[in-house]
Amino acid sequence: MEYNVAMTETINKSLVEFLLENLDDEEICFAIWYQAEGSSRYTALIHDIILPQEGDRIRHGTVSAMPQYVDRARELAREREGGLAMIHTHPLGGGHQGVSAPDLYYEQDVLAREIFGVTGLPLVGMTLAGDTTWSARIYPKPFKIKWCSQVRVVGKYLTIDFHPREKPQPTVNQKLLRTKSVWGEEKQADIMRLNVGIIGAGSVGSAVGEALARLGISKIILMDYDKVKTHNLDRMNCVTSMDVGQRKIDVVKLNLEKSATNDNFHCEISDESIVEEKGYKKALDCDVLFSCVDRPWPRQALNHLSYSCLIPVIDGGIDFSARDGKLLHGMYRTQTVGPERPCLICLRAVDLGQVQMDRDGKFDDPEYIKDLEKRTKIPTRQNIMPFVFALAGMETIHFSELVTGIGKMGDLGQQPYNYYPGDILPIYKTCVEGCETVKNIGLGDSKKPFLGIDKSKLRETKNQREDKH
Amino acid sequence: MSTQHDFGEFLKKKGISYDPVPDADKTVYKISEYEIPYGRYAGKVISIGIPIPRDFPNVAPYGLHVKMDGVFTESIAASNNPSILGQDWKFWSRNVHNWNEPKNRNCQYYFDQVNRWLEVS
Repeated sequence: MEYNVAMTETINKSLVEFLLENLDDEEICFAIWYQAEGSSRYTALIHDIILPQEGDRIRHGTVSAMPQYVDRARELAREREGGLAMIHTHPLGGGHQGVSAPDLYYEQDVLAREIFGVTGLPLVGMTLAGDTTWSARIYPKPFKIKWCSQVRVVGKYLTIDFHPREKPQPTVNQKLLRTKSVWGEEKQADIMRLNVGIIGAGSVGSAVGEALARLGISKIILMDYDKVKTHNLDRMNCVTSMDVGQRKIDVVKLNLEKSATNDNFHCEISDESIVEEKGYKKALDCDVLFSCVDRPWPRQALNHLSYSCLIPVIDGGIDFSARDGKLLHGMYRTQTVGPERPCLICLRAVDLGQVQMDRDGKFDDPEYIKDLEKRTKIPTRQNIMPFVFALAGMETIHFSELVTGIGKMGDLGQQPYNYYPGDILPIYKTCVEGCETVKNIGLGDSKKPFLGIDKSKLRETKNQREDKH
Repeated sequence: MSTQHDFGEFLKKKGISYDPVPDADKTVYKISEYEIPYGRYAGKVISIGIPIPRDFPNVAPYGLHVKMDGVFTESIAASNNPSILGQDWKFWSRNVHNWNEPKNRNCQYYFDQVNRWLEVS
């Protein structure tokens, strides 16, 4: 199991402002965290800061928390059903910080067992260096230190402090010369250490994967349960007639391995559905997710986890409508969602009035689609390859800005392209008052979305079994 | 904001009696005697089933079960599918609009839509 810590930009700002206000002595505070347990990664999501009160700590070059402060923090964590993190500073330090023998003794041999006994969750220890670099460790049973491979801060940007041994800085090879020259070696090394998930390996997903593999990403998780069909051939990247009948994830994986510029590229594939438990947990192993799905239920689940588990989701959609050779409507749209950004529901990129219809299996129901097309006289899911490439390109630009900040904007807004009149005018919105999504920020597994049985996946699996026979 | 459980309370407050019927990821509130309030069928008493998702009101209910007992027949709704409530019932495929607005995510808003579907059918 890999261990991580994550927090929002707002929490990070508050912590940095308090902890590094006076650099003469070390400083300390506690925080409550919630867990997000993926299939191979366990993340502690920092949620509430518990600042010291008068007499709660002694600063004497180093810093000591008084027993009443520890007791108060522990009780608050128990009441709020979260874990406890103890955070202190190394004001003169820079980069990743180790843990001194006395600090390790206190965290591992004194506090870890006691905190687990009260909260049922492992103690998290964090150090903030004077240059604002984070280091973190966690003490799961049997209460032995486990270093966190990274601490990520999520908001308008995604910034990650990596553990130098758990996730060492990779060498940027000659294949990435031009890319590296754009944002520099350090940013390129950050990009190369990301785990990126692509949910949906169809038309847009396959093109997004191609761009990411060439950007030098080391690990891509591809999730899709569908097989390549003849009607996919006009829109999927690098897929030929020979691939019809193969699983999309297998075909796309093979292509990505050919395109990858990272010498240690690894593509993990999953034929799960994001709205089922296994698929959902797999998504929690990622630092960034691409939503390349065309159904409302998966998008609702992705929207939810981007806030509850602090994983930015880059989402896009194509809406093409033509009848008898005449364009009625043609647009694609990209948006990145997550903490400190408007959610897919407030952006109207997912319709909560259609989610249950999807759960009932209607979106892929041939009878329902036939009936719909009969009524509207418009074929469903109209699309063309130029839109697919354009959308995938726009989504990966969102990704580049999120992780490098080269444009100094972070959030590029919601970007819709309309075939007519042919412009892209970004829209900047905030979530509406009373938005339920933002109430779940950083609450992790304690606020999971509704997960169940994906009927579209069941139908596809059944069809595949019948085809075999 | 209300919950799935609150939907039963909402019906009770309106003086409407129901039987909850479990259906996979939702509960169908089966109302044996429901008087249509508006439209050309106003005053007629019919049987309906309202499928409330487990995570209501985060997502809107989808569709409506209607008993084919004289007032409504199979020819009325464009897409009427088999219903889990029995052979003499049909499932009407209907979407609730504007559920993304937090102020609309409540029992009354949904119930108004049900009445509207019955009014215009």
